[in-house]
Amino acid sequence: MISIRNLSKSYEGNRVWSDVNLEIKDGETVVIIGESGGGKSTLLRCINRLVVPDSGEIWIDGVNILAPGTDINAVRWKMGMVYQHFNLFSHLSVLENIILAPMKVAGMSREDAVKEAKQLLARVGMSGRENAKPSELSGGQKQRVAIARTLAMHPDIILFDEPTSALDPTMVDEVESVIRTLAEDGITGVVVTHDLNFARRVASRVVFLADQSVCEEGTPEEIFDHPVNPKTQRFLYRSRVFERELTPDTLDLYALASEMRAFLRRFETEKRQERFLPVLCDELLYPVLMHPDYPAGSAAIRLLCSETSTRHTLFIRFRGIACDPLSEPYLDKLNLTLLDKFTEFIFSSCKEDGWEVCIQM
Amino acid sequence: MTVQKTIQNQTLTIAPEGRLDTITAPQLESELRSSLEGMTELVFDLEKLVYISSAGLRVLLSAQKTMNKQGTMVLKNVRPEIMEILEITGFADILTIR
Repeated sequence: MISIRNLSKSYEGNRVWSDVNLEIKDGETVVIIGESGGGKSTLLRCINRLVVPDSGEIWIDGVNILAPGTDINAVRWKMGMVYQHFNLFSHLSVLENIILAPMKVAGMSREDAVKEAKQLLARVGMSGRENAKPSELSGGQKQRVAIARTLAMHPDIILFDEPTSALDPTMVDEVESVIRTLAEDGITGVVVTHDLNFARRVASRVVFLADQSVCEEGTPEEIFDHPVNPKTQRFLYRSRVFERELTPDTLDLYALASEMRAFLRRFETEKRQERFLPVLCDELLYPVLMHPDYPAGSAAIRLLCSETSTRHTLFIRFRGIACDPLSEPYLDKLNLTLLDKFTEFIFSSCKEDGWEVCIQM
Repeated sequence: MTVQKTIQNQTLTIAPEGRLDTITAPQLESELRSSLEGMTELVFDLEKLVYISSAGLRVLLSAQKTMNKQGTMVLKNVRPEIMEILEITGFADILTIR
């Protein structure tokens, strides 16, 4: 059991959070979500005292780890940490990465350490890759090796700091399923992530950190489907919506496609949808905003992403426009054919202040 | 996008690499305008072309119209994702693809 009581932390006079209280029971997987810069990782790092809070208490299995005289190494012995960028030793093989700590720190014989490392690699689905170097592995494989390395020290608690942030969406699943099996084995997990889909799937409880404290906590269903606190509701809305205001003067197609791709990747997507983004730029935004005779004054983009399906919806409100943007003189048959190819549907409607194009991706 | 250009006798081979889109199509168009005179064969080697927009397709169509008057034009080494675009837009029917 981890019990965090009245914890406060500031950096150079700037308060990160104050009076944070949180109880984490054995075997739970608690996922901490919140805005970037809101102190999620700082809170996580307090749990193994990589960061020392200004005040408050953290009790782990009956020991206040912040009390003077606490044997922090004994506390850390119970804990493992998995990092965003894996932190594997690049010059060592997969096997050597895993047996290093059991041999050097726990005093295990090489023979026993190797035997156990092979079992751990099997547990994370990496059997047969013992001799590979980290550079030969995908991001998902590296993270699974990092988890196996953590497990080699038999922790009761594992702290995960953005474990999927550096992974392609296709690799999130493999890491997620490993984390799930840890929970089934009774290991307590504390996870910090900005990937809300991942949070929903992996958490037994979700903690929303906002405005310097725990704003709301509950089951994934409570937090994501029925949030009570308006701050949680606003955060979840913002996290699902990508908004940009474009004008002919500021249009940067490559930057826009890249930003939208990065945003979309936080959700479930199909390859076709990522392929659509440059098509959107080339076949709709550019011809309308950069028309030589009748350029639109501006385009407000609003991309609403679904957390439960791959059906994402895009609204583009063109203002200061001569006529329907999905018609001549803006688009011709070739533009429309390409837009059709990569969308479920696309239509336009006249609004008070311009024309809105709605696209189901 | 980078464009590799090779001339052998009266055959011009153009090998664009990267993305042929709204931004880069004018570059290819200008390259063709200055190179097509006197050529009887135009070959587009599309092995390294990963994306094509309508602006890129229009450049290919314009080149085809020019070559109709002075020789032949062919696309070769077309990647599947580009072939898909050529097919859905009907360009696969009007361009020669090897």
